Parts: sequence; C-alpha cells; structure tokens
Amino acid sequence: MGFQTDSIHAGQKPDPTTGAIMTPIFQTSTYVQESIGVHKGYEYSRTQNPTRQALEANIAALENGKYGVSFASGLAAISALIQMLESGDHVICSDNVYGGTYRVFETVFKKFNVAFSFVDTSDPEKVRTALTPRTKMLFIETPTNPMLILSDLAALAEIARAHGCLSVVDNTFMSPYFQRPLELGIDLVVHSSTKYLNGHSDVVGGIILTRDDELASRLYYIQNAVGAVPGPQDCFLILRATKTLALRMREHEKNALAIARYLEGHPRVEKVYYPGLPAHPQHALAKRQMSGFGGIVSMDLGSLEKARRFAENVRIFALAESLGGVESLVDHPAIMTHASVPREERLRMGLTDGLIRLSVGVEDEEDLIRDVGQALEAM
Amino acid sequence: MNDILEIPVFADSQSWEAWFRECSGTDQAQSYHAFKHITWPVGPDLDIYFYLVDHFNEHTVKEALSAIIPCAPCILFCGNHLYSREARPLNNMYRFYLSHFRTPVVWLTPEEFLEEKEIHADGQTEEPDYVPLTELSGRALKKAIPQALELIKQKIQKD
Ligand SMILES: Cc1ncc(COP(=O)(O)O)c(C=O)c1O
Repeated sequence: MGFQTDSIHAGQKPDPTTGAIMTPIFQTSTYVQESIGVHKGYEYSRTQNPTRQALEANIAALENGKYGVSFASGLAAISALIQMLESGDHVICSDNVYGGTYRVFETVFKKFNVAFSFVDTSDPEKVRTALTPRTKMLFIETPTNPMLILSDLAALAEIARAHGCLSVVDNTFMSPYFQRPLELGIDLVVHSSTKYLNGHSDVVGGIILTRDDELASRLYYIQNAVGAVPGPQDCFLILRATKTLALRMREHEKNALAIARYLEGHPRVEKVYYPGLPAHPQHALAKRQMSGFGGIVSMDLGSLEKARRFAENVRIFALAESLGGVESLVDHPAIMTHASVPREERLRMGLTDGLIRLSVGVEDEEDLIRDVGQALEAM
Repeated sequence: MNDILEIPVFADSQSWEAWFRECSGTDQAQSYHAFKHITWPVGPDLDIYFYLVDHFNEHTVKEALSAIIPCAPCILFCGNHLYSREARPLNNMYRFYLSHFRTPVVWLTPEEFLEEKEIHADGQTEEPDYVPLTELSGRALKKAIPQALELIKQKIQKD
C-alpha cells in the first residue's frame, strides 16, 4: 500500500459492535472476563488497549516496520530503549541530540552504571573510534536540532551490525513521510509523537518501531512492566492526526523551502541552515537518505539583540518551545531549548546567540514570508 | 554474569602487549579503532578488560575513552621510566590525562629503573603512585596489577 493509504487504514478496522468507522476511544482500565482466565484478549489497559494497539499498528506501517510500542512521551520511549540494556553497557549517542535525551542519559541512567559517549555521528570514523567491547547501542538523531546536521544512516547501521550492537534513530524531525530508517538497516526507530506525528500541539506522546520479533517482545515487556503507557484519548488523537501526516508534511516542506530560499537571499541574515538548500554541506546525503527536507529552518542573525528583536516582531510565528505543529513557531535555542549546553560547546557547533530556529507551519506561504520579512526589517 | 573491570592502559612501547597477553593467559587481542582489547579471566566471577591505547592522540583518547575512564577502577601507565618532566610521549600523555580526567593512575615500572627519581630545583619530586615490576614479563604484571588495584582501594578509603 502507498503511504497515504496506510496512514488512513493501517491498523484500523470498523468497530465490530457498531460499525463505527473511527476506532473508538476505549476509555477503560479493565475488561470483564467470562470465566477465570477466559477473555477476549484484553485484561488490563496497561497491558492491552484497543485504541493504543490501533495506533501502534498504524505507525508501524508508516515506518515500514512490523511492531509499534507506544509510550506516554518521547522521553518515556527513549527511556524504554535504555531499559533494554544491562548495567555496565555502553551507548554511543549523537553529540547534538535533543537536550532532554542528553539529560535523561547523563543524570538518570548513568546512575545505573550505563556509560554514554557523546560523539559526532555525522563522521562514521568517530563512531568507530568510540566503539568498545561493551558498546551495546548506537543512538542517532538526524537531522540534529537546531543545526540540522545529518548522519549517514546506512553507514552507521553497517558499523553497528558489524559490532553486534543495536542501532536506534530518533526520527522525530523528519517523520516517516520523509525518512524511514528501518529501510536503511536501522534496528529501532523512536519518535516524540508530540511533534509531527500528532502535529496539532495538543498531545505529548512517544513510540518505538521495529521489524524484529525479539526486540519487539522485549519492548512490550518493558512497556507493561514499567508502565509509562499513553492514555486511550491521546492515542485516538495521534491516530486521527496520522491520517493527514503526508498532507501536512508536504505543506511544511513547501513553506520551509520557500522561507529558506527567501532567507538565503536576505541581506540581514548571516547564515541559513536547511538540508534542502544546495548550499547545505550535506545536501547530497539529504537527497540520498530522505525523500524530503522537513519543516525546520535555522538562521543566524548575527547577535542576541537582533535575534531578540526578530522574535519580538514576528506576528504569525509564535515564540514557543516544541515544533512540528500546524502553527509556525520561533525558538531561540541558546536561551530557550539549549541553555543546558555549555556555551563553548554551543559555539563549536555553530549555535550562536544570534541563532533562531523556525518550525514552519502550514499557514499560507505568502503570509509566512511577509511575516518573516517584516520582522527582519524591524530588527 | 561476570563482573567486568575495564582498565585503560597507556604503554611506552608495543612490547607491553605481549606481556599483557601473557598475564591474561591469551594470545588474542581484539583490535578496536583506538585500542586493543585483551580479556583477563581473573576468577569465576571477574574479568578484567585491558584496553591498550594505540595512538597517543589527545582527540582519539577523548573520543574513545571518555565514557570508560570515569568507570574504570584505575588507569595504568606502563613505562620503562617513571614519570618525569622530560618530553617523552608517555609523560606528555600523562600530563594531558591529568588535565582532563580524575580517575586515579598507577604507574607500572621495572624496579631497576626506579632510582631515577627526578628532584627539581624547588626540592620537589613529582612521583606518581606506582607499583614496581620485578621484571618485564606477564608473570610480573599478574602480580603487580592486583597490587595496583589494592593501592587505589586503600587510597580511596584514606580519603
Ligand atoms: C528530537 C526529539 N526527541 C525526543 C523528544 C522528547 O519528546 P517528548 O517531549 O515527547 O518527551 C523531543 C522533544 O522535544 C525531540 O525534539
């Protein structure tokens, strides 16, 4: 089936009791049993819930995987991945990952004697250098936030396989519409479904996808044993949103590309970061491993003062953390989302005080460009 | 499952690899990008993994060992000479190490060379913690490494 057909139908059958075409919200914690141990496959909602299962099957199909295991947030999903490991294991992680990922690794899981190396995964040689006999997982985020640096997934999947360690990709930024890491040999994909999958800024959620039977059964075990499951209402909302994922992603990208091109030619913008621009240093890799370039554009305005004036003067773009919703957002990473990264480290990756990240929404392209233009003039 | 101690090793010549293999009772050393890995099955419940660092490149050391060093019980510096201010690669590496990491270091040096303690103009010596080796051999290492671990244990208890 095609992506759009899957997004509307995969995992969803009309409700057998009423024929309702939309999967109902099974807002129940438990299920009545006919006799002791005789039931319809559902015992307790931490373990099984039909709305949740419909969502998991749906996104598994979109990622071209076999299994989906959903969680109450992206970070709960990421935590479940680390809970698959043993004390003493070592994880190599992209050095420019989402700050919350860095925080849970360094401040929570390190206490349980899991070691983390933060490495520039855009260079496969550096990943090889960081491998040790105890390396059990390679955790990659591509493109990174907010510098939009890419890692070569096919090359990294190969390195991980040769070493016998699991490869994981946080695919939140691209969504399965533009990037499907499982097809490139990656073992596990994780999402903050809070972002593009849900896309309407009204749910926090996470999900892991895989093709591997054994990994899936370990993850279902953790999902139930640890218990960070999403509620049925949230599952319903995400399931409703994936029906329009392709439509939204195409619009996000069209607008983002138009804005990136506009910014590239603007005298007040010092630098634009967008993988869809031929000037992006990894444009060739972007074309090879993604089928589009996504909705996030970053730009350097030269100073904190200019960035502040820009953020204060936009009218359609809202100043807020998060990304991936239908509405356009502007973020100042150095102060808002990446303040925990030491300044020296930030500057090394180009994350200056003048950097602005735009999560380009699906409003009218002309309105967004006019808004960005007037805010640049007012700087 | 066995307990595993990971011990990074900086040595001043290739010859040490043979002595570490002899000490571990293995002729196998698995090559990684930045080091060679030799397993010493110390007892039924404990393995020691030695990581013999290949390149004294500061960048590589940081990339390859930054997650290992903080968890290691100690780091071994193996040299024919104990640390001095002389510009030898092992001494330079030791200075780099001290400025970047805090895991304790033990030097393993043949006892016949231990007389060469350097006394500076200010009357200070810069003697690191060390265990003398009776000879350059796997047998001597086998004796010295538990002593090195004990030395660190006592030091930590004292602190
Ligand atoms: C790339 C990425 N991964 C993971 C997360 C964490 O997800 P959540 O906020 O749903 O826990 C985020 C959130 O911003 C993110 O941007």
